[in-house]
Amino acid sequence: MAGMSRYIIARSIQTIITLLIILTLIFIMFESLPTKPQDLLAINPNILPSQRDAMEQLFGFDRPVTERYLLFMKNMLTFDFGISFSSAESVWSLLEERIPRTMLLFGLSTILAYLIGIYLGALIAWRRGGVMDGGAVVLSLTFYNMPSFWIGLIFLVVFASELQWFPLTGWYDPTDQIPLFEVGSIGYKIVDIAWHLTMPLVVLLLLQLAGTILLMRTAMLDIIGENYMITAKAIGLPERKVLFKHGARNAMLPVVTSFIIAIVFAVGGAVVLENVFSFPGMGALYIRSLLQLDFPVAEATLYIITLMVLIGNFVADLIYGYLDPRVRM
Amino acid sequence: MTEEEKSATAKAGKGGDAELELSLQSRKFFRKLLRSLKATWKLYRSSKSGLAGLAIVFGFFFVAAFAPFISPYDPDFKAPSEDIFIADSASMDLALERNWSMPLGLTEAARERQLQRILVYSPEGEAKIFPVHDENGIVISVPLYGNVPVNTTYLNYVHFYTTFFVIVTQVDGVDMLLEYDYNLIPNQLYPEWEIPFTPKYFSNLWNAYSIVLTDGRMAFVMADDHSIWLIDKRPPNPVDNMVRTYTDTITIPETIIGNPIVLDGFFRNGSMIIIPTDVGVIAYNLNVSAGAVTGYVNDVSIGNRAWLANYSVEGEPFVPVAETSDVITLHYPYDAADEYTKLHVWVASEDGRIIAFDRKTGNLTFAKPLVMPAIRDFEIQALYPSPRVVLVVGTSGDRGFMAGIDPRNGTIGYSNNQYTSFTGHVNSKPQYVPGQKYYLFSTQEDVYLLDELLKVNATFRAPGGGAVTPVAFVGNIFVSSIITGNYFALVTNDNDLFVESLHGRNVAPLPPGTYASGNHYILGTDYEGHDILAWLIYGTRAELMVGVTAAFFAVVIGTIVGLVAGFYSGLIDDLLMRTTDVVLSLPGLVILLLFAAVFGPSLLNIIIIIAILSWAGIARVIRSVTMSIKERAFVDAAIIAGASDSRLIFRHIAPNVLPYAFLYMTFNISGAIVTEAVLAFLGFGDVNYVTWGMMLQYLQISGHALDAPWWLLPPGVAITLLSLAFYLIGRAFDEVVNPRLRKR
Repeated sequence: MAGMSRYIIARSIQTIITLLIILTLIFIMFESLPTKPQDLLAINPNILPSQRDAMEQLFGFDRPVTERYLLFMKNMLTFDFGISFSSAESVWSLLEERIPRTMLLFGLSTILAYLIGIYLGALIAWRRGGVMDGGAVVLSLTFYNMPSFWIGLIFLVVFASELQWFPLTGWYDPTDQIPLFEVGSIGYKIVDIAWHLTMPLVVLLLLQLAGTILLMRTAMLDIIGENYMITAKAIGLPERKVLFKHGARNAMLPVVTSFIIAIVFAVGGAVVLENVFSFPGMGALYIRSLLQLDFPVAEATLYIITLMVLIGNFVADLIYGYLDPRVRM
Repeated sequence: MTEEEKSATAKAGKGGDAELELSLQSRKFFRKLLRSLKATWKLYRSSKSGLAGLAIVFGFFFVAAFAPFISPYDPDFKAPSEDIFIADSASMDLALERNWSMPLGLTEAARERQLQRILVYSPEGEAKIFPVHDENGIVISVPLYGNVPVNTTYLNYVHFYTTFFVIVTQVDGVDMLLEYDYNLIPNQLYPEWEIPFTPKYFSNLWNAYSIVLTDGRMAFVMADDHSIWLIDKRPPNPVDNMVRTYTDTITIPETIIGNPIVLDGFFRNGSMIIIPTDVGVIAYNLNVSAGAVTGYVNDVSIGNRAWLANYSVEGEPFVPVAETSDVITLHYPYDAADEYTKLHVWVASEDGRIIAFDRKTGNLTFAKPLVMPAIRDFEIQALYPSPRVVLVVGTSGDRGFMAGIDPRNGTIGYSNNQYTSFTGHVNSKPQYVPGQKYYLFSTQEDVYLLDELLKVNATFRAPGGGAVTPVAFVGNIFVSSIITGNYFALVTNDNDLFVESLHGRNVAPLPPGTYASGNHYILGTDYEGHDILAWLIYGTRAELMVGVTAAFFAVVIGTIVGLVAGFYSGLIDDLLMRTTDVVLSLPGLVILLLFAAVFGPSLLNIIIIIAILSWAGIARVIRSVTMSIKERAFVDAAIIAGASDSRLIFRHIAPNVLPYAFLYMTFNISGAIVTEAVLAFLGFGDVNYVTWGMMLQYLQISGHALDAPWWLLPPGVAITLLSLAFYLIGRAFDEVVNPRLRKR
C-alpha cells in the first residue's frame, strides 16, 4: 500500500511524543500537590522530626526537581514503578492483576459496542423515517446523555438488589454457588467471572452503543445519498450487498475515527463504573490511590491507562489508514 | 440602497458627519443580524426535537431563576426530628412536681456501662430509683423502695463486681457520705462516713461517674470554701480480709472556687489534687504509704503544696471563667494511651484565651486565644475534659458553640475545623458517649449529638415540650454482649422522666409523603432530611452555571486557537494542531480527577478543568471551517483592499465561524453537565453548592443507593433531561448551520 510505512512511522512518532508530554504533565501535577506523602504519615504526633526526614529521603523528596524528573521518566519508561506508599507492596503486583480485568471489561464492551453498533446503525439508516428509526434515535440520544454511574446504580437496584439475577459486587468469589462446576475449576472460574462481569458490561455497552448507533446512522445517511449507492441499487445488486458492502464499508470510516474517542471515554466510564459496581480494576485503584495520595500507584495507574488509550488510538489510526488511502498522503 | 442611505453615504463620502457613518454601519449590522436570526429561526423551528430541547432548557432556566418561589423549602431545610427519628424511648411519670435533678445512670463499669438503674432526686427531699431493662426497647419499672435518706447532693459510683452508689447528704444536721447497694436491700446496714463540713465541690465527675477504680475501691475528694476532704476506701486485702478507709482533711487560707480534680484518677504517690482558688490554681501532692514487704497501703493523706499557678500570663493577670463551678478541668486520660491528656491543667480566661499549666510544676505552658474562623464575638462558658480534646463551651449572642482544643498546642483541632455552633445555649455538661464516639449535650430546647469532629450528627427537640433538667448519658443496654442502645435521660416539662436511645434513630431517607410534622415531602428526603424536590430545584442554578460557563470558556479558547491555526497555517498551525491532538488523546476523565485532587474541588476549579479539557474538539472544527472560509472570494477581496490580518480575522472570518462555535457550545454544555455530575459523584464536587451530582454522591455514601429510589431517580433524570435538551438544540442548530443535513 502506498505510503503505509511512512504513515506508520509518522503516527508512531506522534504517539511517542504525546506519551512523553503526558508523562511530563503527570509529573508536574504530582509535584504541585501541596501535601506530600510524608506529611500524611507524620500526622501521628509520636513521629520525631528525624523520622520524618528519613521518610522524606525514602520517598525521594529531598532531591532537586530536575533529578526527580529524570528519574521519574526513566522509571516510567522502563515500567519500574517501585513500591506503594500505602500498602508497601510493589506497585506492579497491584497492577498486574487489575490490568487484565479492566481491559477485559472495557475492551470487550468497546468491541461489542462497535460490532453491534455498526450493524444496527447501518440497518436503521437504511430504513430511515420509520418507527424503528425514530425510536432508536430517541433511545440512543437518551442513553448518550445519561450519566453512566446513574444507569449503573439503577441496574444494581433492579437486577441485583430486587431481582437478584446478578451479584452486587466484585469479580471472582469462590463462595458463589454455581451449578455443574466445581469450585476452583477453570469452568467455575469462567462462569463466575462472566456472571460478575455481565452487569457492568451491559451498562457500559448500552452507553457506548448509543453513541455508536447515532454516529453510524449519520455517516450512513451521508453515504446513502451518494451517486454510487444509487447506481448500485439501479444495477440490481441485492439490497444486503448494497447496504453492507458498499454503504457500510464507507460509512465505517468516521466510525473508526470515533473509535479513538470512544476508547478515551470508555476508560473514563470504566473508572466510574468500577466504583459503582465495586469492580476491582484499575479505575478503582486509581481513585483509591488519589485519595490516599499514594503517588507511585496513582502515577503508575495513570500512566498505564494513558498508555492503553494511546495504543488504542494508534491501532485505530492504523486501521483507518488501511481503510482510507487518502489519509496516507 | 434606500434614499436615506444614499444621502447618508454621500454626506459621509464628503468627509461629513462621522457619527452618521457609524450609526449607519451599526444600523446595517443590526438589520443584518436580525435578518439572519429570523432566517435561523425559520429553519430551526422545522425540527421538532430542537423545539423540544429549547422548551426544556427554557424550563430549567425558569426554574433556576424562580427557585425560591417554586421550591417548597429552601435548601438548608431539614426535616424535623419527629419525622426523621424513631426513637426507642420510655417515660415514667414522676408524680410529684419537684426540682428534679439531672438523672444519674447507675451502671456496671465492667460491661461498658450496662444500665441498671436510673436515679433522680430533688433537694426538696424526694429520691426515686427506677430499674430499667431491655425488652425490645427500654422499659422503666416502678421505683424501688428503700431506705434512701434524701438531701442536697448525690454522687454516684460504679463498682466492678457489684453495683452500688454513694450519696452525700445531711442526716440530723450531720453531713454524711453513705454507700448503698443498687437494690436498696431494706434493713441492711450500709457503711457511712461523717464529713467534717458541708461540701460544695466534688472531685471530677465525668459522665456522671466519678473515679472508676477497681476491686471495690472508692475514692474522691470534696471541698467547701476552705477545706478539702479526701476519702479512700480500699477493698479487703488477702492478708486480713478487711476493708480499710483512709480519710484526710486540710484547710487552706485561699478561697476555693471550683471542683477539685484528682490527677490520673488515682490515689498514689505522684498523684496530685488540683483545686482552683481565688488566687490561682493550687496543687497538692498525695502521699500514699505502703508496707515495705507486703506493699499494702497503710495510709493515704494530702501532702504538701506542690505548686501554685497564679492567674496571670507573663505578669499580666487574667480572670478565669467561673460561670459554673468548673473553673478548671483536668484532661485526664480516657485510655492509657492518651499521653497528651495528662500533661496539663486547663483554664479559660474571660477574655477568650485557653491557658494551660504544666501539671508537674505549675508553669505556664501556653496561653492561646480561642480563634474560630466562623465565630467572632463569643464568651467562654466553661471547659470540659474529654478523650483527646478539651471541650470549650460558650455563647455567641443567641447561639452557643462548642470547640475542641488539641491538647498538644492549645488551638482548635482537626486543622482549625473542630467546632460548631447551634441555636441555644448549652445547659448540660457535654458527655462523651464511648463506643458510639459522640458528644451529647442539651440546650434549653434541643438535645444535640456531635461527632468526633464536633459536627452535628443529630439533633432533636426535647420531648414533652422541653427539658427541665439537662440531658445525661445514663448507660448502654446490651442484648447478648452487643450494645443495642445508648440511653440518655432527662426530666421533661410535664414532669416525666424521659429516657431515649441514641441507637438507630434515624429513619431518613424518607419516602415521599406526609409526615408527623404535617410536612409534605413530594419527592421524599435524603439521609439528613433535606427535601429532594427543593434540592433538585436549587441544584438547577449550579448545574446551569457550571455547564454554561465551562462550555463558554472551552469554546472561547477553542475558537481562538482554531481561528489562529486555520488562518496562519504553516508552523503556527502545526504547533497548535499538535497541541490539540495531544489534548484530544488524553483520557479526559482520568486527568480531570487528577486535577480535582490537586487543585481542590471548588466549583470554579471544576469549571476551569472542564474547559481546559474540552477546547480541543472545537479547535479542530473551527480550524477546518476557517481554512475553508479563507479560500472564499470575499476574503481575497478584503486582502486586496488592504485589510490587516487582525481585521481579516475578526471582521470577516470570525462572524462566519461563530455559528459553528455556538453550535459546539451547546454540545459542550451538554457534556459539561454530565461531567460535573460524574466528578461530584466520585467525591470531587464542591460541598458548598447543591448540585445533582452531589445528591447522588451523598446517596452513594450514605449507603442508601439500593433502597431509596425517590432519591436515586430524580437527580439522574434531571441530569439526563438537561443534557439531552442542550444536545437536541445542538442537533437542530446543526441542521441550520450545515445545510446538507437537512431534509433527511
